[in-house]
Amino acid sequence: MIKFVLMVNRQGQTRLSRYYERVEVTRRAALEADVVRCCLSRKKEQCSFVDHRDVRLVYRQYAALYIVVGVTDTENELSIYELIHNFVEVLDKYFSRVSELDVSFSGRHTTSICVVMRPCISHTLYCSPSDKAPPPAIHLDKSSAPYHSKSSFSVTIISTFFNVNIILTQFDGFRLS
Amino acid sequence: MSDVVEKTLTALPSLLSLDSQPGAAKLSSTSKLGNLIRGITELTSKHEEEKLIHRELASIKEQVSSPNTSMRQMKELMVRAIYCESLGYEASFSYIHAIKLAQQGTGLEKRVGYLAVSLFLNENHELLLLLVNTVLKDLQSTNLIEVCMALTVVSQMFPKDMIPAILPLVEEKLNHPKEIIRRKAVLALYKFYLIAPNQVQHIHNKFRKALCDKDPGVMTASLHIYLQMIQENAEGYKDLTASFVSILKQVVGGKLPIDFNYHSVPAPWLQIQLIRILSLLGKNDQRTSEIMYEVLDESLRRAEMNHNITYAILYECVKCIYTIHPKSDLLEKAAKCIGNFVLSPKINLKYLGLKALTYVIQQDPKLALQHQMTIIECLDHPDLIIKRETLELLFRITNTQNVVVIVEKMLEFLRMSTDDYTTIDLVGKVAELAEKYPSDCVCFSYKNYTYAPDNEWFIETMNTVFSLSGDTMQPDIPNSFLKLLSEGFESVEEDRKLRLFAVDSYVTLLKGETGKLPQFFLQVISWVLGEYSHLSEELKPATVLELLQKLLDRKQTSSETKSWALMAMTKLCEGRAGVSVAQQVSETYISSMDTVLRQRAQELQHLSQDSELRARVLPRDADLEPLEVDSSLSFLDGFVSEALAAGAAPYKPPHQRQEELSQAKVLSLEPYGLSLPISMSSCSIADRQSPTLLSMSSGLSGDSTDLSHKGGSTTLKFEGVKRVWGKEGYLAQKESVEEAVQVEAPSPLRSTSQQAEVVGSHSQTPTLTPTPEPEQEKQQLASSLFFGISSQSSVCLMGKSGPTPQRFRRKAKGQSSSSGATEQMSNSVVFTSTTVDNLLCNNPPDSTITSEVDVSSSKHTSELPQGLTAANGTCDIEAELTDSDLKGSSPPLSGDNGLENADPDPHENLDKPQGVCLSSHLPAELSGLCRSEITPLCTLQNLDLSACHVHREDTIVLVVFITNSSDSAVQHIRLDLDSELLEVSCVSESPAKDVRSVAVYLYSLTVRRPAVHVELAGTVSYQVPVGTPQTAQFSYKLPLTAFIRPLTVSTEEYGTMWLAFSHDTKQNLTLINDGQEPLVATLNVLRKKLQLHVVEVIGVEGILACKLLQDQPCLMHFRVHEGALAVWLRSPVPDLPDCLIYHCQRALQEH
Repeated sequence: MIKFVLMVNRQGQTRLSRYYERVEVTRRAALEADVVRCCLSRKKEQCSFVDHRDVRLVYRQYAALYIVVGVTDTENELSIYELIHNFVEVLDKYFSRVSELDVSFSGRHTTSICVVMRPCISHTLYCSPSDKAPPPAIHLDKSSAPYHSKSSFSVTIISTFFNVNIILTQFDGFRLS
Repeated sequence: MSDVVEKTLTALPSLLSLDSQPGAAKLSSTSKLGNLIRGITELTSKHEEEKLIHRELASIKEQVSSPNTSMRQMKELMVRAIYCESLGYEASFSYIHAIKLAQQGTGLEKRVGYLAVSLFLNENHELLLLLVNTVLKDLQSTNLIEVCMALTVVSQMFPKDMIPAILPLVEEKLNHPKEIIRRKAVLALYKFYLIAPNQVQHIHNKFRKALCDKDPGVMTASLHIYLQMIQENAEGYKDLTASFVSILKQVVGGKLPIDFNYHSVPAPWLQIQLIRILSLLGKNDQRTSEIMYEVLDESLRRAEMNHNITYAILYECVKCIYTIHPKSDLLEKAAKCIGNFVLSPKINLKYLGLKALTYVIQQDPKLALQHQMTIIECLDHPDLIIKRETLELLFRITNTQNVVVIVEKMLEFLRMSTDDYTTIDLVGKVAELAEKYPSDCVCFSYKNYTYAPDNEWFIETMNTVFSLSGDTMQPDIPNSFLKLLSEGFESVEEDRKLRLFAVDSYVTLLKGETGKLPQFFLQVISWVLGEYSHLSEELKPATVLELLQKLLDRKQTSSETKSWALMAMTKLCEGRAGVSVAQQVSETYISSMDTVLRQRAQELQHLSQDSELRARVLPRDADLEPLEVDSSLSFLDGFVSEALAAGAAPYKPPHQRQEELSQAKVLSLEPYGLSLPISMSSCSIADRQSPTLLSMSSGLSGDSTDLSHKGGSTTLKFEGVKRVWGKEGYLAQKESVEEAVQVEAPSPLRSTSQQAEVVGSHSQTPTLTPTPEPEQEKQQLASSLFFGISSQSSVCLMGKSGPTPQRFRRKAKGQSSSSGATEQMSNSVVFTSTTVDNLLCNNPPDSTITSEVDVSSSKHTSELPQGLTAANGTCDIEAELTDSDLKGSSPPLSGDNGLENADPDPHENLDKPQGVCLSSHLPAELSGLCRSEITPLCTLQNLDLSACHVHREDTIVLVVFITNSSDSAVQHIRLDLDSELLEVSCVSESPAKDVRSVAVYLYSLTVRRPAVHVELAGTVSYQVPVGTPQTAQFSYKLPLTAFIRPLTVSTEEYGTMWLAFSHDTKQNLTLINDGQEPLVATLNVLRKKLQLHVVEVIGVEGILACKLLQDQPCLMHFRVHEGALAVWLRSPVPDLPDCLIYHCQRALQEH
């Protein structure tokens, strides 16, 4: 079972969080700080799984951004590890304008995608990079919230979770278009 | 899929046009968030951020509450609120507005509203109730997007009580032409299943339809439900194995659309899910396992690509292969896979390999040998998580030979560990290991090492554990340690040595620096010194008293530890010196602010002066006689009644007090009708909330203490106590030890030839290659670690508790005891049963015997307790019918009187004459009572087993008939029954020796934990004179209704009880309309079928009561509302209301 998904940058700032279990808002900041410390302190050659209290963390680094998923210990860690990558690929695809690693892998309007992801891996995120047509799951999401129209809303939500430095340029770019 | 997109997209233009209007408002609104983000990034200190956010929140608050804010602005405000919350600042004022936005907004605004709701609220938030109407409306909408949004939010959170209101709508969506909607509906139902499984029980066949859906997405969604259901009850879904296998086959074969591929692996997460389901289904079941061998092989083969995700699939396959019934070539392949993982240079794979190995080792410890060198390397791995996983692995293969080394490794890790959580976990494991092996003083030397898990080792290990763990330890570890010390092991001399050693080592510890010792440890030390220091001859009590006094004087000592120390002193204050020390100490603490300390000091003072009393209160070497604890505190009754007479308020349990407090404030939680009308009528009904108000008034007016209520609460408390401490002492501890023993045993299923093969191939590994110096060290370590596992060594064969000898022993024991029982068989029983047998089996009825039977049965009928007869009128009448039938000499029909009504489950067709025969074997005291049909349990070569359950007023009696159908005599019949949910106790056994006779076994059953149906698993074993012993397994299922009895209470009592009970369920039922007054008719049906007691019916409301044997009450409140029957059940027993609701539904459906 997935307990939470976090996207944090190297400075330890949370860009996006989604909890599938009840965690009080006031306790979240402390938990996130602990989790980030846990993951950031690890070296490249150490494995991508680490325990934090009773949660097993599976994390993956994309440039300055870490994506951390908290799971129960009955979960298959490697499949979660790949799920993260899948998630990122989907994000990349969804915002097809992005090409640079930094930009593409910084948080985007991911909440609604995360909303579709649930504690157990739903079929949500199937997407192979070779496909021309966007994957079904994303269609679903688009259909229920037409963010791809570059409406003002998409900008606002997206900007909420932008990586700090890139946000503003992105943000301005959206506004200008 | 694409047509859906088109459809939905065509529905969008209106939204889009609304949305893409360029305008000043929009720009400014976006930049507001932009400004906020920019502002925050520019700040340097946390304090400034806090100030900024609070300012922001204040402005949001002001705007959201202003009536002029448009929905569009509201949407923007919500986004800002979400942002603030994600930074960790609570914006609870905006929650209600999020709901409002979801309610009133259109399209995008609605979407943001729902999004905000799902981020802000949690399952139990009371505001969630306000969302119900919106969801209901959106579910009925013709707009696909709105339906989607509603279903999405439902599948994330929904108030449990409101499920009935939307369930039909969600169910209807299962047939929707659009797969998106179907899929979302399945996920919503999955959520319902998780929070209230009983409420979706009736749609199980619809889940099956979803599983067969032509859209893979819907099918995948339904797998979540199946995984959950199969985890709970694998037996019920065995028939689906073939379907899951064929789905997996299609997926692996690449039959799914290419969209589902991930790095050209077809639907990997789906594969993993399916393999998990299969492993649950195939566990301990050869037939089912056989179906899946082929597809598992295929999966293994296909997953040979070099990519992480295929490794993830392989890992799942390996786990599955080792879970299901073993097949040698698959096991071989799986073992090879694990080898590849463990040896991989990739650290993630190594981790996964270790994890797989840890799992597999429980079934096949030999595999550890093969990888012993890798395991040793991992033990010194720089990555802590790898190290921990390795320790976990070693923990599973511990035996008497390697326990010392493994514990040493764990302690090493503990000394390094800084994380509390890990420490607690590991400390628990070390303590468990240390306690498991101290008694086995198996000494053996291997090369230069001598390992002897003996007393000294045990005490020293526990000392290290205590001092390392700090104060984070779980309290049951010191508890069980002390228990172990006090109860001792087999030999008295060993016990004495153990205690003596403990005393000596603690005295040494106390003489040294005590500042760093954790409080728990000091408490343990105090107790041991108090109890056993007299064992040591050279140790004088005065010395110990001095040490304890020093402990008391230290500032760091907590007051709890001080009271332990005082207690120890009380045990030791002997002689003149002792008394004077005691007086001195007690004077210091007798005026302490801490009441417990004061109490102990008082005890010390009094007991030190009166040595006779002390000897009586604290006898030395007490034989640990179990103390009788009066948990109902009945000795206080006099005091209570005096206080009540003096005008004190009666005691109310905390939850009741809370409930009464909250009654005034909280929203009404009673479900409305299906259509949720907001009208005056519903308001007025909700106001009346009958049971609560009624009982409140009665509680005020009635006398202070209510007997039945009191009984209920005491039993509740008693249960809580019982779970931890039983008569034998601490229960949890024993269970865990047993578990560990099971874990240790290798799988008995593996064939011997195969085992021999594995042994042959692995035992050579360590000795084959000559190795350099450091390597040798490692090898030595390896050989000490894996010693017990290699079955070459004869020592280890003796030490190891293998499954085969154990089994043999158990069987032999069973045989001897059952043979004893056979000899004890009473003649009279055989005689009567055979005569009755003959009588009823087509033999012409002998008049004298008939009348005898007649008299006995009618006598018992008349003895039926009043309550039961009244509640179950049909039963009574039919019992009479039986009598007349007997007289009318038509015996073959008589035995099977129509008492099935007690058991709504229609069983398979019965062999009628046999049923009749068997029923005549019922013991006389049961023959007149209401019972279920006699069901065949299993048929063996020589034996037929059948069973039925008989309803007595105070118990359920399970009657098992064993008929010998062959011509040869059967001996040593042994019957074992077991159930998780039931407590089974044998009432009587009357085994039959003769050929073609019937043995009758009686068991009385009590429910431990309510479930809709409770099942018993049983084993029968027997032996024919020439031949091997045979065993067979069977199961027997009873509905919960069998355990339900009417509970006679008055309306006042009902009222008081209602308030005291904490578990409740509400649901709507259908009313029965057959001419009579619907409520009365429905209640009558329920009363008859479920054995309920109707307390009172007033107008459109009725209250009923029943109890679950023994004495676990459940109260029901019925109200007719909008053509449906709203039911509200309450009970002190969890799950009981849910189960009863299910049976009510069933009863009404069947009517």
